[in-house]
Amino acid sequence: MKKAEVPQEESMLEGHQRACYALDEQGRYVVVGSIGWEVEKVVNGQANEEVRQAIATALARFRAGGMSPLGYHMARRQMDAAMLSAYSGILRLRIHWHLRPGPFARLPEAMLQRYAEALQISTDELCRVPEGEVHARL
Amino acid sequence: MHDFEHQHAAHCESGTVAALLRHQGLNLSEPMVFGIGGGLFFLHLSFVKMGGIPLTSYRDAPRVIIRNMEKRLGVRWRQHRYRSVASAMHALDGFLAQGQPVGLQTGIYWLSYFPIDMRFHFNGHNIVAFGRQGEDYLVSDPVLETSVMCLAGDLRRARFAKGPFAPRGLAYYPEHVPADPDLKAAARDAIRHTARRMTGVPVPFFGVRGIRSLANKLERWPEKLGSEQARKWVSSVVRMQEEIGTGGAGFRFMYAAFLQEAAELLKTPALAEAARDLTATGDRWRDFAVQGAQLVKNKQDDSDAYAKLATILRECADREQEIFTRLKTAV
Repeated sequence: MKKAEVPQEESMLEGHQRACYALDEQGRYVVVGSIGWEVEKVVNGQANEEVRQAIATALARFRAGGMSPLGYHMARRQMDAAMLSAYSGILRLRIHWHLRPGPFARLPEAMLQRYAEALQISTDELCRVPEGEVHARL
Repeated sequence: MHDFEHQHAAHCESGTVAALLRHQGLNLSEPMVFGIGGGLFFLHLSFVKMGGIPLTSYRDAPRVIIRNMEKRLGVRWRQHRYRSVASAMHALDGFLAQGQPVGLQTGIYWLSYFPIDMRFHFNGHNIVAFGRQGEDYLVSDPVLETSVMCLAGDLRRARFAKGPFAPRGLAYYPEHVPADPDLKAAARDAIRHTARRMTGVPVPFFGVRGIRSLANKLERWPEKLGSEQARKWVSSVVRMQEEIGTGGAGFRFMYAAFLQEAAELLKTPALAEAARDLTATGDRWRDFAVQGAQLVKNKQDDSDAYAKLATILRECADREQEIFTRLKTAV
């Protein structure tokens, strides 16, 4: 790749630059900053789309009464039960049980606290789900 | 107040190591660190899944570069892991108070100075902490253009991210850096080592065999997985090649830069030639990324597209086999 070929396209880098190695006019490698590449944007967008879909699915299931708010917050943090288990120290099977609305509603404050800490939110937030359709993925 | 010099790098591990060594007076370029660290590799493990997607990597295991600095240059590291967040942060504050910048392994998801769309659960991200600003930390993240401020809460969470490659607070710095290491011997050893690993591991997951096995598998993804899943998997391969900070073409350009530097160091024109060939191969890897992204974007069922991708992969494998076979005897 030559210096002039380093892509400078609008991307998810939000004004940051990525260091690329490219050849200068004398054929020597130099570091060239790139503000982004369409290719990166497409594959990064694909990965983010998946996260958004997981959140939307969790939200829909919550609204249909089939899932507790824990499912939504887990998806929002890009976690699955295995990862939430690693963060919280709560067994995966128990997490699956708590993804059901009934068992979740009966959780003692101490358990809510553990989940809230693992997800870095307050227990209040943990028990709620935001209105509307647009949701931050973090 | 802080005399730590930030330099923009392509890759977090080689960038961090280069920065720490430079601070101790050993000035090596990032490609040199990457090359001597034996960073370049390829692996495709269809039976190891991360988030349901098979693992593809264009580099060797995390921390290999750090270890090889010890082996090939005689750099002695101090490395610490911690049981508790409090003790890890306390120890970090101690290092910084002594003016010692430290490398930290972190989970990128929790670092809010990154653009939001780049924050995924990946726990192998290396950064340098070099000072404090009030409660917070001054951080040189090699993949950014400038040093940044990192919130104390972010850093705490990132250092104790959980899941695969959990950092457990890992902090490291060079305790001893030789003033005048034998770079020539190190480069020779490293090139031979990487060449052997790229061509000689007798299982179909690693090196050029790994590239070919990826080509064979990828061709069958649409029928095996359905087109939606197949596109997802192609997308993940391209991400590993381009999105995760590789300097372009899955580290191939950075390794070519290393070969170019090594050619001068060792006065071996064959290495300069290998650098040119690897650059050309890197350009083909970029074609692979372009066509892969096209396929992801178009969302059309086009089994031909998969065959074309496989063809490029096989071409890359053939070229790299040829280049690394030559390199085995070139130095």
